[in-house]
Amino acid sequence: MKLRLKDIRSALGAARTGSVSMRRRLMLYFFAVLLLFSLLIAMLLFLFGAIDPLDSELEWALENQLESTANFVEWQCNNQAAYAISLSQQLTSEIKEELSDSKLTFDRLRNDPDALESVQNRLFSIIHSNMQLVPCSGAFCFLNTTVNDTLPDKSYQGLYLKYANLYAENTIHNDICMFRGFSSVARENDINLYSTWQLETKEGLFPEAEALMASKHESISKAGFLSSVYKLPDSWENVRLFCVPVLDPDGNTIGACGFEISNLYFMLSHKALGADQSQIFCALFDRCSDGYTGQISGNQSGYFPLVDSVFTAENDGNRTVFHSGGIEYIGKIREVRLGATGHVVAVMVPAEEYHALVRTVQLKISVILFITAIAILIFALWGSKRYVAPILKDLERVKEGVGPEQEGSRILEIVDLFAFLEQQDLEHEAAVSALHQEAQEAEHRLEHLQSELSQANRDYELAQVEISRLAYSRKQEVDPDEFRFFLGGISKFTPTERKVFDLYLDGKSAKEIIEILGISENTLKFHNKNLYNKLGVSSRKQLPRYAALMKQQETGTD
Amino acid sequence: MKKLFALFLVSAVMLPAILGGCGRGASSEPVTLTIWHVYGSQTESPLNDRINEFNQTEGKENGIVVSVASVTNSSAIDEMLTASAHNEPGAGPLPDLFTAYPRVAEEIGPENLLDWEEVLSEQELDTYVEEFLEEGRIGGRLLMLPIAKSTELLFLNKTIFDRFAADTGASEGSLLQFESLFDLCCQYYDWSEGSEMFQINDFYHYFLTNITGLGGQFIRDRKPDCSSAEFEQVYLPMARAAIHGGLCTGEGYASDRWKTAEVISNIGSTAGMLYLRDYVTYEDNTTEDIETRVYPYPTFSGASPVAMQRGTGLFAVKSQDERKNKAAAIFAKWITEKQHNLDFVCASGYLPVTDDASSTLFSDLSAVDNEKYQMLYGAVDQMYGSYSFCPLPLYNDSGSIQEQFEATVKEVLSAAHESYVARVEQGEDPETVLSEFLASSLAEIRNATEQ
Repeated sequence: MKLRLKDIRSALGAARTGSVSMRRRLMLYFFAVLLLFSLLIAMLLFLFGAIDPLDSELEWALENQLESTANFVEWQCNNQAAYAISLSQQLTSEIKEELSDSKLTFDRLRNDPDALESVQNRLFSIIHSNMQLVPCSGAFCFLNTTVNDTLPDKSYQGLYLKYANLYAENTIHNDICMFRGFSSVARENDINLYSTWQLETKEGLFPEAEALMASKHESISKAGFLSSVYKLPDSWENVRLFCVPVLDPDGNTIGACGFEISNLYFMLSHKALGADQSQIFCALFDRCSDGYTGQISGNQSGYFPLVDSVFTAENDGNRTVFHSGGIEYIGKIREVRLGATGHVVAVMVPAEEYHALVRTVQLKISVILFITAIAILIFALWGSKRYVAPILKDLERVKEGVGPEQEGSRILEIVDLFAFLEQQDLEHEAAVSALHQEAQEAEHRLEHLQSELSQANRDYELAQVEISRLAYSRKQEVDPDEFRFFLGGISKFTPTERKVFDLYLDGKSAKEIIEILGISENTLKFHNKNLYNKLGVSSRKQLPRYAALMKQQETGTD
Repeated sequence: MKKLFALFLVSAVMLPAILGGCGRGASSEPVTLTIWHVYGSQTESPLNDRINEFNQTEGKENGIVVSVASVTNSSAIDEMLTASAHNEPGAGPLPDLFTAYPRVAEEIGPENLLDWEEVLSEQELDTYVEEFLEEGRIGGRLLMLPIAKSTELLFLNKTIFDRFAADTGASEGSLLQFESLFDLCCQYYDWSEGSEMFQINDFYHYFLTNITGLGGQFIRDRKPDCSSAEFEQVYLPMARAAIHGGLCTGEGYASDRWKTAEVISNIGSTAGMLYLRDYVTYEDNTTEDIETRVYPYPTFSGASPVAMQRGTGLFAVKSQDERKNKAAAIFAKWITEKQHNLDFVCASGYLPVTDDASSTLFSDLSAVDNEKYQMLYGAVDQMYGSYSFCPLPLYNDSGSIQEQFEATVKEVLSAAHESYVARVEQGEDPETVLSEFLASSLAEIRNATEQ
């Protein structure tokens, strides 16, 4: 690995200096092209929605859970509403029959424990049976009357049954107990009293139900609503009530009935799906001055958040940021109408978990990118090696001088290169051969010239000997005083006389001197006369003899 | 190249593991433990308060959330656990923690339950009262950890009893022995024109303790033995009060009838104090404040004083997720730590489970804030030293046999009472009819338990 990285680094360094091997250059090209291609594909997938933003998985999970919870809450409430309307009608009918049997009016039930106990005994089976049909944690029927209106704390009559020992959404295994009602009715029907049982319900415990009981209603169905959450006194339970009015045959409101959804039942029946988001949970909220309050569920994974009763909330784009119990949550909300009242369904996940999930996606992408980059690099290395290897092999053969006919190349360009090089070789060989011949000829010429030069040198040496011999003989014929006078006369020459003298020394004839100097014969004779006088010679024959002697002296002096 | 290729292969092979495993880092997620318990029923449960405290303190530090998914009673929890363990239709999954009597372990399967000795050190276990630990050892494994214990006491609505005593001359001293107590029941029935004075929450316990006190043996060959002389000795005074009237043999807990003054006295768990109100409600919705008195468990004359050592314990369902097992151990240690245990038991009428907490509580009862609970622990303190305590015997199918015995006794005696009242109203001699029903009911119960 280190070696490869070193290769890449050296390739990049070499690329900068411009001296890169073919394989490295090809590897870098491959790597760059594949990387760019991958990025381009990723960008296109992102642009066309095939790849989602980092938090899209969570957004989808929240949106999906919100949709599911809202639908389930609405379904559950519709179910309760339908059964509550039916229950109301059955109660109206049963109370009418009871009053008829006992020859009482509804108003005469007030302050009559026995009559009210008898009514409750009659209503028990209706409430009990409806309770077992509906997804709920309890059922009730409040009546606009009381067993004792002389008491300072005002209360109203009614039968309120609850499941005891609730532990699962399904209630078939649960006993029923009495929250409100006559203990004798509980005894009669072989059920226990709720731990905080009371005979009647004190006014102010369920204000919304009490308002319903105090109003006149044209339609049972239109008056139905899901209440806010109430704490049951001296108990750890909090409940909502789905209420509809109970009317007498004349349409007057004589009470309210419906079903209870305790916080525990909501928690058991609305658990968010676990799967990837094990801390997602949902809630059914009502708005309050500080934010939201209501019922919350846990998650199928077993997770249950530790929260306060109130959630503060602020919008953050298409999400909502909640705070409760000192913990931040990120989620979504949706308004729902349950009966005549508006509520808010919310789903959320702890912000810490939300961010952890985003980091997980980031990590996944990083790992995928890393592996893709490694794969591209491997392909670049492998591809470049695979592509360049036969070329290098052929080039090596070229270096070794192995022709394509001996180990045929499969690369067309290399075959052409071999043919080209072969032609070049032939031309080169021909040129070399010509040059070789020329060199031989030149050698011959050189040898001939050298022999001629040797002959010339020999002739020159012989001439020199002869000249010396002649000079010596003439020197013996020359008067030394005359010769010294001769040498002294040279310095007295005019320029023209000197030219003439030199031309004589060069062996020129009088005719040639006349032509060379462009002078007349008389002029030459004039110069000659001056020359003879200054040199002290008496004839033209004496002049060359002294000149040769003078030249020999100069050569000998040199 | 080869190294790069190897890296690629390793990365590709590990990719699913990395992508799967790195999802939110399992170790950082909080561990949620669901719990079903029996402390508080529908009232503001003292255990729920402690659990909330745990969640906000120790739980928060260790990333543990204990979530209460059900608060019930010791009978109902057995049914719930059995239904869940057997995957009965509609039953939810088993909780991570639950409190129950040891008898339920057999239904769930002891192998599915956590051995506390695997997660708690010997030193930690040494702090618990040894007899309480012994009760939780099933098949050599410590499956039930004591978190609160109780014994049985006699509770009295003194306000109404005083009115009865003023008219009849009855004395509270008569409540200390069963023979005189049952006589008072009959007197009260006559005085109140048909109301019951006394209820025994658990007849099985009644026979177990009193037969043991008389030197007999109630459980023989893995079932109640009703044929012994001691059984008859314990049965007849009780049955006389039940058939005549005055001793309640109806279904349900005494605390229900206490609310409406349908009974004014009962023997039951110390923890029953939580449900015994300081007022009673009458049929016209008027209420009356009452004074509650607590007495040691009554005895039979000539018998050694014996009382029940009651109390469910904490079980943990063994999880494949080791973090859950450790979290269960952290919670168990926290709830039984001296001060937390004292806070819990003193708010609910239970007894602490460690020697240290127990000596702290009984060395200074004035430290208990609530006067009613101070009185309760005073009665328990009177029993310590003179009473011996026996736990529920654990044997095959003991839960359902106990339930069946309970139902048989109540059914036989209720039917006998109704018949007795009817025949007396028809003019028959009460004593003759009573004797007849005493004999027939005893035979019926013996016959039922022998089958």
